[in-house]
Amino acid sequence: MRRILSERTGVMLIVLWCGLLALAAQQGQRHVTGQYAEISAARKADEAAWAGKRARLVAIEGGSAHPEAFGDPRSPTNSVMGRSGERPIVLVPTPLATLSGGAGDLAPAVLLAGMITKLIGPAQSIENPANRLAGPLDLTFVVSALLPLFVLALSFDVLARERDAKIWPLLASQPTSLPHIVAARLAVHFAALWLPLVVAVSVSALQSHSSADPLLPTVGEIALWLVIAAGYLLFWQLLAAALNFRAGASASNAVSLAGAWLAAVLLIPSGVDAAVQALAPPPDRREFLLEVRGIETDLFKRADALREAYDAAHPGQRPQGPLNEFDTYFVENLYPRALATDAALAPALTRLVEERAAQARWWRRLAWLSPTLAFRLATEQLAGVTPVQRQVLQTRAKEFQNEMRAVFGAHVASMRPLTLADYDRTPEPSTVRLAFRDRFALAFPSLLGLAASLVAVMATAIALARGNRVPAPLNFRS
Amino acid sequence: MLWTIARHELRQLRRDGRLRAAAWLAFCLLTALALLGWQTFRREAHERGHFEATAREQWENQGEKHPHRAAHFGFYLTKPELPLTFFDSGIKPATGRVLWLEAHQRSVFAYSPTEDAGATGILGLTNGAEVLQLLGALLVILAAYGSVAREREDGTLRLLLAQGVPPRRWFAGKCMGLGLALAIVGTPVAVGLWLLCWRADPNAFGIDAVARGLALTVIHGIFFFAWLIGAVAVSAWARTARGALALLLGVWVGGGVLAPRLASTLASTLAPLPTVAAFAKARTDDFTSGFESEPGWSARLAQLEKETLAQYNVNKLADLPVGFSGIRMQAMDAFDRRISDRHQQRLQAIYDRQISWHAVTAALGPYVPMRAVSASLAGMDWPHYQHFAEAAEQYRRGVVHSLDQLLERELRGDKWEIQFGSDVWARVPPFTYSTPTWTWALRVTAGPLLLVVGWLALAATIAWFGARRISP
Repeated sequence: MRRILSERTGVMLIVLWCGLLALAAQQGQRHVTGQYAEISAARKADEAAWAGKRARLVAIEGGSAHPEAFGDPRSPTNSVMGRSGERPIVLVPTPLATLSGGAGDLAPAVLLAGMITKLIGPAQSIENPANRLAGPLDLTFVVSALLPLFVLALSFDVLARERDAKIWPLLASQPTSLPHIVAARLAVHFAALWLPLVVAVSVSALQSHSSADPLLPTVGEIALWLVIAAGYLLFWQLLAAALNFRAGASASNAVSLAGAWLAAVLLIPSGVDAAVQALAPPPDRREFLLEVRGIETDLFKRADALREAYDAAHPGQRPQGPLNEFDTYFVENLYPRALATDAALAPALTRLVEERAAQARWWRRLAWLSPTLAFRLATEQLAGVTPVQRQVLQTRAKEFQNEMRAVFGAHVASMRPLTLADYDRTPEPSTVRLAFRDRFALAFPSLLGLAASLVAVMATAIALARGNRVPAPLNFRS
Repeated sequence: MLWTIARHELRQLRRDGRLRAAAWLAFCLLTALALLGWQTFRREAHERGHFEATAREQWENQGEKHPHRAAHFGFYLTKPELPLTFFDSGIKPATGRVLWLEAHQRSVFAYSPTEDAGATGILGLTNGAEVLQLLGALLVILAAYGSVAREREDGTLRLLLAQGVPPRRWFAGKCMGLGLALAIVGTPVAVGLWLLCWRADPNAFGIDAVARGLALTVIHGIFFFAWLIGAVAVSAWARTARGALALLLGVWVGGGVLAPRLASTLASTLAPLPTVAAFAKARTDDFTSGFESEPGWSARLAQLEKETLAQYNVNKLADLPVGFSGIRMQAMDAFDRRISDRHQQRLQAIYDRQISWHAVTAALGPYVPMRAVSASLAGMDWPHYQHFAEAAEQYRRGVVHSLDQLLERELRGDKWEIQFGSDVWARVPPFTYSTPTWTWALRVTAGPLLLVVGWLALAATIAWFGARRISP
């Protein structure tokens, strides 16, 4: 520790490291706080809307109010069919979400679902994509990309400095063995880098922790994340140690470590990206859109037949009285067509999900090629921010849509007025949580890859440490 | 003498095996990514053409429909790409690929690749420009960090100065040698990129593409020259080659790896955009309740009904000789347009502030402004995307307005239902768009351009004083 503190560079590096951690922790906390605010606003708006509709219905039935055009709470088309009938399905951020930003604004925490909501739509965003392109400055980035550079700066001459200064034999003549000296120095570096990380991660994750959730699992997940980060830190330290045990100069070690960083952080991920694109091309959204439009057009042209088919499948649901133009379109055309569209689109949607999953699988398979990639992927999966994991939100929204249709479908088809009892039967929008077990299972292969890299570099470092010999003039054993 | 010094530097560089290996690695990577980009560009150009043609065909053959439902069926458009896109795809990996134009709302780019791949999908280097700028700068650092400091450490600097070599001339010779080495490596790269650019889309390789390509070549020259003389200057200031390398690598990491993320973090923290929900709510509130002391939609509709009845001298809407729903839709869209423009201006002000915050991180190195200039000249930066979106928005408004007019003309009274067929949809003119010229691109990126030139000036200043300070 004295060695680090005695050099201005060492102190500056530690200060810089702490500054970066603080900034990343604050960013993560801001991101998750924003997500909670989005969830809270959506829930409040939903509760207010449904309570308002219910209150108006009570007032109309009590004779103290008159229904408005397009705002009659008894009308199924006014109340449950359009945008006003949509309810928020919420994906609660995981305890580790503060540490991984993921796709940021393209991964909303809330999805609105209703009777005829198109759940295949893209994520809405008004963000400047230039901000998204660089990616978030989250703790995952700071650890995966920048931590190795701090290890490089602190440890590239952990032993080579004495070799450069030609006092290595003197060091070797001490009763403590060289591997022990290196281990002690690296332990100090480890503490200098890891302890601030422990503080940043704990503060960030615990401050974003929802008081409604139990604390213990959150602490457990934070501890796991820190253990993984420790493993990753150890990997780079052992790499530095291995290079130092070779008889190279400190400058050569620095260049070798910089090369390893370049390969792990920039080059291999680029190669893996190209390989994944070739092996499992991403879903072709444009073709998908054309397919969707083709289906929609076809079904629009067959709207009458679809209504007849619906009537045949749901006897006794025809409207009893005359309808206005607006309701006629909803009942005779839109609703039966929405059901038919969902059924027709199901195979295309399944294909889309499968293509996305295939791509994710290839990322997982190839992540072990770079410890940085493995760390990044594992931590993102543990944080539950990958697109494949977020698919659950859409799945749940679809389930909710079906529940809504089961309750209100007959009302819409027959235009039977809604009653208070119907309002009370409205399915409650659900809250989705990604179970830790599932997240861990998904992250396991990447963690295994990271562990394998760690074991390999540890074995190399130990072998080089054992083979390390003091130069001949002072090697009294030879 | 200058030439002798330069030749000596070249010889030393040629003998450095590590540097040769690094140069080859960077060259291979650049070639691979450029070829991949070229292939992707050609494939996507074909796919875009197919997509737009099919989308238009689907529009024309959507069947008998109410015009407003046709307006909601809408159009899909994709932004055209210049041939330089194969080299610098700019913000494309993080931006939506299509615009859906429909009634009532300004469209935003949708279906970003990031949505499917997540953040992991944009790890590493994604295009040739990134490789050239990031690894090219690293290569320059590796070539130049020891140019003066190493000679000082080896003691040869003392010998040289004792021989009466003027320090500035020696310094200039060093820069010349390194510059020549860079030119030797860079020229085939530039020629190859030009050829690929031409072959990517020979029809689009017009004066504008050539001008953009030339500007891109010149700005890269400035960028690398700034790194080169900056690196030699640091080498002259530093006591040891190791110190020079540490400092230069620090600047490279700070400017190339950290600064882009810091830029986006600063931008989104200090100039935050509203959430989509908040943005939509603000628009809805303006629509419902009005803004700037103007009434909301309900009051406007009541007034419109009154005025229309007076204009046609009838007592009720059902007696109107024109379709009131068409008049109502036109009024609604006109009001909506004003609200949309008002909120878009606010968004634009935030985007502008964000871009200013991006510029702040140029203090860490020239990489961030260089990326902005490069993406702009390739036609793949946010202003180019916005330019396209604005043209699409004007087109959308025109189409929706013409469909609303159709309702006014063809309907009577307060009826709503009416249907038209393919002949009407086919009469809607197709969307045409011209990418802004290279001068426009330079104008919108003037700030980052000046910052890159500023870095060159700074490097030259450090070099000027560094050369004077050269001592054994």
